[in-house]
Formats: sequence, C-alpha cells, structure tokens
Amino acid sequence: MFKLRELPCWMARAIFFALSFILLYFCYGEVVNRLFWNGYFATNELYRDAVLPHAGGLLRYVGQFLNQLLYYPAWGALLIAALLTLVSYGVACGCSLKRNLFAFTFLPAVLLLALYTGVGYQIYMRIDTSFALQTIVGSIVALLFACVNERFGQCRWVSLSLPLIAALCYPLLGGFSLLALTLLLITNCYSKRLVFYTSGIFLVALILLPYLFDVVCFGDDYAKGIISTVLPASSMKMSMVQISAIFSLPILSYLRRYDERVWKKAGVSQIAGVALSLVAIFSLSYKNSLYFSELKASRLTESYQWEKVLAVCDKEESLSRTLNAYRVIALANTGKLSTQLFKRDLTFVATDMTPNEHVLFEDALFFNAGFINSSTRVSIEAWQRLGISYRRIRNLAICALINGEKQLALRYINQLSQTSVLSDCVDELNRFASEGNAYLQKHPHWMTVATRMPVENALFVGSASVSRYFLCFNALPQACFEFRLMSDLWERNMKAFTFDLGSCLTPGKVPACVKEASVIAAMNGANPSVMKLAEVDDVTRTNVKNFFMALQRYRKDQFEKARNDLRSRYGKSYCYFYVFGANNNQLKEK
Amino acid sequence: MMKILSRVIWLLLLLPACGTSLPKEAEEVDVEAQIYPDYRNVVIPANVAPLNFRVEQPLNGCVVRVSARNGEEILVEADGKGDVRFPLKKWKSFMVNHADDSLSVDLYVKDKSWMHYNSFSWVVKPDSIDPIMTCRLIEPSYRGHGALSLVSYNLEDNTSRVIAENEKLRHEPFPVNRQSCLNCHSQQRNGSGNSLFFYRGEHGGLVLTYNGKSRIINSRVGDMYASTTYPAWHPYLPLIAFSINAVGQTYPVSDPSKTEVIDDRSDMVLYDIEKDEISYITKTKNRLETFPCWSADGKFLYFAYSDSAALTTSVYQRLRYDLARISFDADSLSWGEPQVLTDFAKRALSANYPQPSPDGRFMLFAVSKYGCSPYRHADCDIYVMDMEQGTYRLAHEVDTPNASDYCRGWSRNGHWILISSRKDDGNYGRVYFSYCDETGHFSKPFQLPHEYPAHDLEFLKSYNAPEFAQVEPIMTPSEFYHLLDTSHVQPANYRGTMDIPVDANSGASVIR
Repeated sequence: MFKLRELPCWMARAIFFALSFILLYFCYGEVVNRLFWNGYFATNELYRDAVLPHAGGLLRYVGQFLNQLLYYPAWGALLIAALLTLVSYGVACGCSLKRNLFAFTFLPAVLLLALYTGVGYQIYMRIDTSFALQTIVGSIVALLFACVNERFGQCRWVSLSLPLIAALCYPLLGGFSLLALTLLLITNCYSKRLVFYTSGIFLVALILLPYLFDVVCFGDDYAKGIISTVLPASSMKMSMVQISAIFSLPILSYLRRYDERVWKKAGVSQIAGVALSLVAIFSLSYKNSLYFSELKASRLTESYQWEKVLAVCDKEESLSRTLNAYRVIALANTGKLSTQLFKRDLTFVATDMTPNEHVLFEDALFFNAGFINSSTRVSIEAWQRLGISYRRIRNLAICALINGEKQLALRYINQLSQTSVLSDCVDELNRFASEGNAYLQKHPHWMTVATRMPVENALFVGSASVSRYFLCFNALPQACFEFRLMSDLWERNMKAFTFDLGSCLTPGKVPACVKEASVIAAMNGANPSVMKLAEVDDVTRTNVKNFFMALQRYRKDQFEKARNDLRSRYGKSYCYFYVFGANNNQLKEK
Repeated sequence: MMKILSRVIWLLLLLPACGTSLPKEAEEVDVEAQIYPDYRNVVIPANVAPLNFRVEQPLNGCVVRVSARNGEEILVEADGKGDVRFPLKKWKSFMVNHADDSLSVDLYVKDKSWMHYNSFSWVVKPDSIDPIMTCRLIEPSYRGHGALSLVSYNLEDNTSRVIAENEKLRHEPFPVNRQSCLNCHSQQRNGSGNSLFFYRGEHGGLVLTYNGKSRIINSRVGDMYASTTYPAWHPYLPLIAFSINAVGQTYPVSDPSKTEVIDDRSDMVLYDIEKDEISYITKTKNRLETFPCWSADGKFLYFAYSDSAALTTSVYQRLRYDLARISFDADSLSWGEPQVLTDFAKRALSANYPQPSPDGRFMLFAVSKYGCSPYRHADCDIYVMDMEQGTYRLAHEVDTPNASDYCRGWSRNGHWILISSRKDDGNYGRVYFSYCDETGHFSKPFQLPHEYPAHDLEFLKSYNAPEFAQVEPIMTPSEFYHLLDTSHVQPANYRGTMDIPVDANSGASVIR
C-alpha cells in the first residue's frame, strides 16, 4: 500500500529519475551513443560460450544485452535512469535507512551515474562498454537479497536459504554475490540473527568459491570473478568510482544503527546527503567540451552529416587534431576543402591534416577519403587492440562491399544481424550485397567514396596520414584532385604543388589559398607562370608580399610574438599557415 | 567440469530426439540441400569427430539419416536453426563399424510439407587422421595483434583447448604490458610431445618443450640478424631447422591482398637441442632461403629458395622463389650441397611451403605469382610433385581457383593432408582435410568439424599456421605464464663465424 508519508520520498526519486535522464540524454547523450557503438553483443553460441563460462558471466551477458538499448539514446537514458532509481529504492529498502538519512540512499546511484558522466577519453581505449550496466544490475541484485532479507528475514527458512543462494550465485554474479552476502551479514549482525551461519557462508564464499569456480570450473585466475567486478574499465579513475559505488552499499547498510545518535536533525543529514551527491557528480563528471565535440563529430561523420560536422567544428574556438580531421573530411565532402581549409587558425593543430591510423583508430576518415584497404586495416588493428565493436564490424562490412568482397561482407553482416537494434543497417547492407555496385547509385555517400578509390597501387610500410597517402600516387581519380592539392599545401610541398596545379585546377574557380601558394612558390624559385596559371591577382600578390615584409620585422627568437601579432590580420590566409603551422618545424628553425 | 555440464545439457536437449523417425511421406526433390560446412560427397577418416552441419534453408523441421550399405543407420533431428549434431558415442561406434564403407546421407526437410533432397555420400576410410591439430587464432591480421592464442583441436571428438595465450599479459590500466606476439606452434612428428612455439618481445624467445620440460631460449645469437622464425623438427633427432627472416611488412593501398610480407634477408640455421647450440645451414648474402621442411627419413631438408634478394619493396612483385633441398648426414651432422628442384622463378612464378609426404613419394607446395606470403594471395595454388619422376601438377582436386590455399602438412600415415584456405571469403583462414590415395590424387576437402556447426561461419579469427600433431600438447596457459614468471631467457650457444667486426684488443664484437 502506498503510504502518504512516503510521498516526499517518491517525489525525490522522481526528481532523481528526471535529472538522471536529462543528464544522460541531453548532456552525455554522445557518450551513451558511443558506448553502444563501441559495444558488442551477439546471440550466437560462440559469443555465449565466450562470455558465460566465467564467474560473473551471466551478469556480463545481461549487461551487454542491455547495452544494446543504448542504440536509442532516449530509451537508453530512460533505462539507465530507471535502473539508478531502482538502486536508490533498493538502498532505502535493503539498507533500512531511517528517514533522516533518506538523502544518502541516492549516493550509490549518483556514483553509478558518474560511471557514465565520468567517462572521458577512456571511451577510445579498451573498455567493456557495459561495465556500468553490469555494476548497476549487480547492485540491484545484491540489494534484492537485502530487501528480501529485510522483508521476510523473520521466516527461518528464508534467512537460512538466502545466504546460501547468494553464495551459490557466485558463478553467475561474480563479486556481486559477495556483495549480497555482505549486506545479508550486516543485516543479520544488526538483528543478531544467524550471525555465525552467515559469517561462515561468507568466509566460504570469499575464500573457497573463487577457487572452486574461477580456478577449477572455469580455468581462470583465482578470484577473477571478484576482481573483474570492480576492474572491468580500463581507467583507474573509473575503477575507483566503481569501487566507491559498490562499497557505499555495505557502508550505508551499516549506517542504519547510528541514525538516532549521530544524525539528530533530519534537515542537516538530508542536506549533507544531497550536497555529497552533488559534489560527487560534479567532481567526477567529465566536462571537456572538445571531447564532446569530437564524439559528436565522429557520430555525424559516420552518418555523413557533413554540414553538421562543420557546425560542430565552427563552435569550437580552437580545433584539436581529431576535430580538424573530421573538419577536413567534412569540407572535402561539401566541396569546400580548398576554400575553407585555411580559413581557421590551424597553427595549434598538430602535424597531419588528418590523424594517422595509430592516433585514434578512426577508420571513418580513411573510408571517406577513399582508402578502403587502409580503413579496413585501421578497423582490424583497432579491434585487435581495443576489442570488437558494432561500429568496426559495420565499417568492415561496408569496406568489404565497396571492395567487391561480398562473402566477407556477409560474414560481418551476419554478426550485425545478431543484434535486433541494427536491423535497418543490416537491411541496407544486405541490399547492397545483393544488388552489388548498382546499389551505389542509391547511396551518394558510398558512391563518393567509390569514386575516390585509388586507381593505382601503392605500398605503405608504416603509419601515415591521409594527406601523405594522397601525395604518394602518380595518378589519382578526379574526385581526389582537390584533396591532393590541399595535401600539397598542408605538407608545404611546393614542388609537388606546382606540378599538380595544372591538372587539379578549374579555371575561374581558383581558391585564395592556391593563389597565395602560387605566389609563395614563385618566391621560392618556381616558374612565375604558376601565378598566371593560378590566376593570381594583384591584391593577393600584395597581401603575400606584405605578410613576408611584416614577418621580417621580427627577430629569430620572436617566433611566438610574430605568430600572435600577425594572427588578427593574416590568421585566415595560407601564407600565415605556411609559416606558423604547427607542423612547420623547418621554418621555425630558420 | 564445464564439459560435463555442457554434455549433460546436451543430453537433456537431445532427449526429445530419442524418438526421431523419418517422415512417413516426403516429396522427392531433385535438388541438393545447401549445408554448411559443405560436407557433401567427401572422404572422411573413420576416427573423425562428428561432422555436424547446418542446413541452410528455411525449415520447420529437418531429419537427417546416415545409412550404411548393410542398412544400419543413424537418425538425427536438426534444431530450430537447422543445426544437425550427431551424438558423439553413437557416431564413433557407427564409424568404427563402417570404416571402409560408403555412407549415404539423406536430408528430409519440412517447409510446408516434407521434402527429401538428393542424398550425398560420405566415404569412410580406415586410415586414421592424426588426432590433433594445432594452430594460432588471430584476426586476419596486419602488423598489430591483440589477444592471441595457440589452440589444439582434437579431431576425434570436436573438443579444443588453449595451449598458450597472451591475454593475461595485458595489464591495463597498469603500465606494464607484456602482451607480445605468440606464433608458430610445431610438434615433433614422432609422438614424443616435443614441441615449440615463439613468444616474441622483450621477455620472450623460443618456448621449447623437450622431454616433458619447458624452457625459454633466446634463439637470436651470434651475428644472426633476426631471431629464428619458421621451424622444422627433425623427424626423430633432437634437431630443429629454422629459417631466420628479416621480415618487412607492407600494406598495399588498393591490392586485394591488403598486406604483403617481404623478406629482406633470410637464411637457415640448425638448433641442436641437446647441445643447446645454433649453427648456420645456409648463410648467403644475395639469396633467400626460407620455409624449411624435413623429409620423413630426415635425410633431406626442403626449403624455398630465391636469388632475387635485395629487391626493394617497390619491386616486390619480382621476388620469386623456387624449391630446393639440401642433404643431411645424421651421423656427422653435416650438410651436402643445395639442389634446386624447380624452375618456377624463370616462369615468373613463386613456389613456397614444400611439404614432402611421409613415404617420400609426393611433395605438396604452394605456387603464386610472386613473393613469400602466398597465404594472402588469391592466386596461390596447391601443386603436387611426384618425387620419383620429378614432375608436378596443379592439385586441382583440392585447389580453389581465385582463392589462397596451401598445404600445411601430412598426417603421419601419409593419407591425409591439411590445407589452410581462405576460399570462404578471401580473408579468414579456415582448415580443410583431404584424402590422398596411392596414386597421389586427392579427395574433395572437408572442413574442420566443430560441435557448433556454424562455428567457422561466425568465428571472427583466422586459423593461422595449422599443423597436425600426434599427441595433445603438454603446455597449458597457466604453465606458460608460470614459465614466463619463473624462468630466465637463456641464449643458445652459437657455433659459427661472426660477420660483424671484432674488437682487436678485447675480442668482443663491436656493438653499433
């Protein structure tokens, strides 16, 4: 029966639910989305056999199953918010906190929420994307034991069987069965009920069960089931948050006995609880705006929304190397590469026009530049190091289809088809597989990629950026001319630039950066006819000359000063990038 | 424990199948049912594990009957996915009773009504296949690697186990990561269980198990420019021939092979296990020798040979190999003169991976257009050489056009060959077996069987460097980790001349 005096508690839970949803959907939606795409779940026997035969295997399986729902950010956020609210309710019931400590029932849920809001660049690392869901579900199950014990503990067979069941759940729940046992032990100690019995089972579960199940049954390391509960994330910070969330449950359970003595005034304790939760969520959340922009740009790049990618980049005051890479691809796909590339201050962007494959494993960049083999390679290398994921399998499937490797593509499509949420994607890929290259006509983005594919072979020994790729070919498809010319400019390869100029220019549409570069090339000893070819006007010529004259006023050791002084006037010109670009180590020396 | 548990579960699942019977009425359809793996009309050894398969068409029910000439039969019902799994015990006794028989396999599939598809045959040979196959599991790989494992598959009961893995050597988020490469598991062919594999990297070396004891050896000693790479156990002596390869990997931007392995330099060495000593077999500057393989009597070492060394990567398509052999005197441990056996390089082809048969009558090898990494080349074909007549031919019975296939070894009785092939999709290496008759002709290859029929369809790793083995490898993952933690990597002794400069005063080699 719903009791009226509990109305404020339910209202508080409703507010927590709403706030969690808002935070997850509106502020950390990109993270939630990425956690889906970096995850993997399949319904086949192979996957089941790989996940289940380990202590805590069922929990992991369930966590990864639920992780699929994050594909729909709103439903995902709702699910997480609901589960977190359930945790707070479970704490209230299972830990029997008195009303004056009610605010503290949210503390574990807030810490668990921080597992989502606190994920920063670890999202690019090897990470079990369902680690937070596993912890949440595991906590709920542990609290369920505590709740049943609170509610039906008077019944002797219930109090006798609960610790036993909790212990036997070790192969399914791993460390969370010990958490359940800990909560039962605390409750029983408090009520002085079956203390020796529960302690005995707890000790057996703590020492013997990990050996029995981890080592004997599953052939794993001793206590792997316990350790993997708190260390599935690849980041120490996230693991600490996870440990705090898990340990807060027995601590809160223990606090029940002190409510009257320590927390005399309900108001103080409630405020302390809320304050602690706010401090926890604020201090643990990751707030770097560049990181969110990168995630957003990555998502938009994978859905070919180039204008939106550019809008994301434009919003950021300074570009990171990654964000610049997305910007370059988006510019190339909107036909603005040559007109817009140097219109931003790129002097702080590191060496490459696009990152090489080892920086971010961004297969999408190589894919959209038309380097299908390289995109495949980057996907596989990322998979080897960081784990398999939906986004990599999808990319491998598309690459195989564009490369004409239908059977290979079907292998990957079969993997994707084992999650129900990707049915649209699977249908599209299956249509492509059955229709072959004719399907490209219906998909302009993939068509663009196909037209950019190299027409000759080239070998790469080590890692290289997309711009370097463009420079290594003798012949290029026409769709890549603009890319090639901009790569020349990015690399400051004036010799290649003057060589490529004739074939890559469209008369009457010569971009400003090319005109400026022609002047610089001529100043560096190239045939002055390049300026005529590039349709250089007097204004451009004067501007470039003025820039270099202005530059001469600075001494060798005043490089930074010159860069800052000249930015306002020349920051959006190629000559400024030519001298001050972050990759210009040679000129810096001069 | 898990095995017992899973068998109990299977038993429970199969209980309803006890009453399996053929449909009373079934329409005859003149079509062959599509099954995966394609086990239609194959020759199989009597000791092989159940050939479980998946019926790849829509079905509401499926019954499979395997019947022998004498009328004895097994009836199995497929599950909802169309997976047909034969009970191990029943299969084994059936196969033993019908070794040297031709079995007929009938598929009854129910869509709306029951249909009887064209039957196919399984010819059972009494010549048994080696019970174990070992290989490395890896993603169709490039330069990087993640979790790698060396695995042994029991070909008689569809079980598998990990020999060694590097998964636990990754210690994220901790800074020390020892997850180095694992490769080339190889076992001596005398049933002794002596075996080796490599664990590369800073703390790694040659992991050798000899007479039941394991140790790690640094097999790059003296002036060797690279560590030992491709191994070849002497058939009965405590000797291992290795190639040493200065390997360069490149990545074609638009070539379907996606990666190209090129040896900048390669030679061969012999490791004497009991003396713990390495000596050169061949040490040439402008020639390449690689992929050593002993003849069954141990009197010859076969290898791939090329005189087109020192080519740069830009002209790697001119790098071509021929097959050669060198005689070996086991008494004096001395080598004869190398003898080139083929002239593929002259014909703008490249021959690799020689695999002489145990009786010495035949030799299988791989031929591709260029290079020493034919396993990535779609044009890689299997050739068979008649060693008595010196003639060779394309083994079209086992070769798939436009797919990379090559032979990885012979069973000990010389009747079964192991083929590594990427014919499924051009990327994922899969294992096949084929029967070789007395005339050197082969049967249609059949794929490595698994308990889960669609295993190879859904498994996203390649079977790399598969090899037959006679006994279950001794090494286990925990022993391997223990070995890494407790033993020091000992350099082998070096017997040979040093090419690098020696300091005149101290006699020490000059380190550059």
